[in-house]
Amino acid sequence: MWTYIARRFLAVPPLLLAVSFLTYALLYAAPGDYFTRLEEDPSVTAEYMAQLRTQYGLDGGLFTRYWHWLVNAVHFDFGHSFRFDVPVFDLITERLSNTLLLSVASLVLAWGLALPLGVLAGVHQGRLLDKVVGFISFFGLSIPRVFFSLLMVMFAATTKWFPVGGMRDQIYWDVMTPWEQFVDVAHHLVLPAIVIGTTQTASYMRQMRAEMVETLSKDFVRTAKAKGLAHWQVVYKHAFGNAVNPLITLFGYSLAALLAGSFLVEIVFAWPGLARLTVDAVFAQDEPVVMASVIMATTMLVLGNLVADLLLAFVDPRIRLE
Amino acid sequence: MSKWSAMLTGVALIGAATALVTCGGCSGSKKDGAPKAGKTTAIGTPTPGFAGETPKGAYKVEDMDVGRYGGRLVLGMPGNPKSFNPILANDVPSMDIATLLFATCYDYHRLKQEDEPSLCEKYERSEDGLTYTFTLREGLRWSDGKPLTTDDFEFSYGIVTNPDIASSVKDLFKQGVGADGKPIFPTFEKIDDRVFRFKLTSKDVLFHVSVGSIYVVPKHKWEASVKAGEYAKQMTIQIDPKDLVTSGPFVLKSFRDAESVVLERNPHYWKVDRDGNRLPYLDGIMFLIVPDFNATLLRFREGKTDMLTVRPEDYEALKRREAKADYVVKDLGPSFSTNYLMFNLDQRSGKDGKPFVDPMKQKWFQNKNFRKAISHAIDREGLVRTVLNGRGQPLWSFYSPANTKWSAADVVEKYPYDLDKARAYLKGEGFETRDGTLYDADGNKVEFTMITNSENSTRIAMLNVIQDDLKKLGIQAHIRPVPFNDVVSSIRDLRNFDAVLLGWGTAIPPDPAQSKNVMLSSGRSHGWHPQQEKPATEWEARMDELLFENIGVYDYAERKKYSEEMMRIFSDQQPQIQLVVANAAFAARKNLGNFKPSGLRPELFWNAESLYFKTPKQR
Repeated sequence: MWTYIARRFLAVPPLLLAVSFLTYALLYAAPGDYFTRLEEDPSVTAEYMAQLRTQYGLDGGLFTRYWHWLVNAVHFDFGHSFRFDVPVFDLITERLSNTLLLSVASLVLAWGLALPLGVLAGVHQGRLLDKVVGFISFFGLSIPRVFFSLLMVMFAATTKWFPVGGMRDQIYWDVMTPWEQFVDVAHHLVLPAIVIGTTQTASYMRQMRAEMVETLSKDFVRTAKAKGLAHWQVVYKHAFGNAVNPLITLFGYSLAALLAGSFLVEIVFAWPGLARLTVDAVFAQDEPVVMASVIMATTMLVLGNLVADLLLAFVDPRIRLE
Repeated sequence: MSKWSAMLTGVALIGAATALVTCGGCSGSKKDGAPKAGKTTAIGTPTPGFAGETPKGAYKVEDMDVGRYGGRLVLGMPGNPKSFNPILANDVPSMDIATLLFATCYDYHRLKQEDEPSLCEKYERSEDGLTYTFTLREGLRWSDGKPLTTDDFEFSYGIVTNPDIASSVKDLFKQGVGADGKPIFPTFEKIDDRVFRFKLTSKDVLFHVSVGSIYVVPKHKWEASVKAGEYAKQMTIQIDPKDLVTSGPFVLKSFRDAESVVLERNPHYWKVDRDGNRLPYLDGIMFLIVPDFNATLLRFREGKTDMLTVRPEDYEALKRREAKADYVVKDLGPSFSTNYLMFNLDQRSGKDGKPFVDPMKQKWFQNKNFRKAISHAIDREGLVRTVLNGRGQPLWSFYSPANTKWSAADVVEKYPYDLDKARAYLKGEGFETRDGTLYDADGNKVEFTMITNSENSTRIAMLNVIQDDLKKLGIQAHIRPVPFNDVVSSIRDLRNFDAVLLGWGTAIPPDPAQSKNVMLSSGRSHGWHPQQEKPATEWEARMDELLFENIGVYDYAERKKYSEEMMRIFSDQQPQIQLVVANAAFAARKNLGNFKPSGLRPELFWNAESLYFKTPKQR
């Protein structure tokens, strides 16, 4: 087990190296750079542009620049953002917690709904409950996220039950007690979490239902029934335990998507998250921020997969990690 | 003198107190607590209050109503400011916020479109135009209470001209290159704490404007960092608000990354209203960072924000609800942003020896009458109707009609939609239409590609209309939207385009001197044929001459004469076919006083110190 984990970790550095070089090369190959947008102003001069480019190290070749970045990155120095002139690390850690809050909330929502609903639909296959669940999941899978977000914002604006965006009340935040602050953030969290959660719920629910239906037709279930076990014992102890295995792998992947899955929602709900920062950085060609985000997302992906494998080994005694 | 001012302050205080008492007595009976015309003094209590005495040389704002103290203005903003450093700012949110936090020596009145004094109460220009003497107001203070003096100006000028600091203002001061290869800057001379002098080596009609574009930063705060070569890393978004010492109407209270920027009254601000009440009226301003425009609109309609820049597509809906709603929508008429279609007139070749433009096409583009024919074939009214939702007008001059001083709309040649005229121009040049397709005199089919930046859906829509219009002449025009950076590199370096549709924003002030980069044949933004060593055509040579004449004299009438002749040549030659200009519109709560938006940045709050709430704002 431990050698397995060690081996997985050893594979990480070459992977990061390859990913970072590819990203850097793509950024390098893209036309223009962070400062190109200044050219729209008729009064900007060539000298000013040249000075900016030298100052921000944009005047070298691909390998020089990548090497420079790599040496610093190995020392955990990801440089300064071109746009904000502040260390990338500070910028990202500030946003990271906000994004994690949103995606963990939607993750809990999604799995909390998907597992029981999926199981119920599987058990009551073909009946009304199954059809309702099926409808919900098709709705969740087919509705475009941007549209759904805007719909929710409209809903918030008309009913005034929820705030139309942001992460907290900007006006009263400073005079709130910690408990009030907690309630305020939770209140702001509801709608964006529902939007992100709905799509995920839908797809996990379909998966869960399918696994359940398949497992219920297996021989050992028939045996269990024949032995005279109670219905709930057959379904929830024997069938469910077997049906849930593939979903654990899915869960690992959803961990990996924690950082990037919420971009559109962050924009529409003005959520101060990392996805928004990253995508803005890509459009603005703010290289240091893009690089740091990519490295972080890759690391999350690797860790997420590892967690999935370990979980699988933990729940399924037939799997041995060597 | 000090006795007098103390007495005056006393009178003002008593006046304010009386007003408070009277209002307290009558609040129940009066429906609207708004100050009536002719009222002598502002009501309400500023929180936080002002500090010290009113500066002796305070600037009196004569053209705004007397308001009421209190309240926080809430505005939406599409993106984070990138920095609070006013000298390094080069993006819109940062520059807009800089206007609220920092002041310059000379300013530009956004409605009158003329220069106006700011931190400096006056300047004098010597007979030969080579010496400028500026005088600061008396009693100016930084937001931390320290005096603001000539030393701060010398310090800020030093930063702007520092070779190691990238400042976009620097180039305004360059007066050529010295024998040592370094640029020559005007020398700065301190006369006393309030008076300083610049000595120039050559004449510059807009020198006071250049001086007016230096944001003054406090020497006592940042001297050490400049010496250490660290100025560029100061005043970032991570700054402790207490350290951001300002001279504008507001100071920074708090900043929350990607959420909000909160400003609060600068207790030492140096402007007063026409009754002598200290400004600003507003206790503070809050910017909510909302990246999505639809969400911004919704927040305004909900009453969460107080002001809004109205997009053309939202205008109708907002206007329809205006009567019942608690906001007003103001249509300013044409904005300052123009749109143009430009052919590549560059006859040079690339490094590989191949000409930038296919010589066959170059022959058409070079032909003035071909360009005129295209101009006549474009239905600008149709563009306004379909692309701008009817909110705009055809454009004939390089400058928008919004530019009241330089637009030259009456003297330039106009190109109304007229296919017969267009065909006549083409026929005169040997073009021929066969089976609905246009051929040139050598029998080549007329076909070219128009590019624009793919991020801008309005521009792409314009190209679609133009494509249809040109089809009526038998011209096959292809559309290729590409990312903005690609457009720029096509125009700047590769020079490999046939035609491009782009737009111009405006500099402040919108003066011909600011368009040197575009108009001069040596300019970088002379997009149809940039950076020419010597003018390629006679008319370009004449335009160069006229621009130099224009920036060589001080008299407006004379400058206008040169500028108008330049615009006449420009419109006759059509190197850039001007298309349309969209209208600008802004909305604000009816409760907001002195709401006088301008087409020039910062459009909504250039007069932030005079904005006020007529009745106290809830929450």
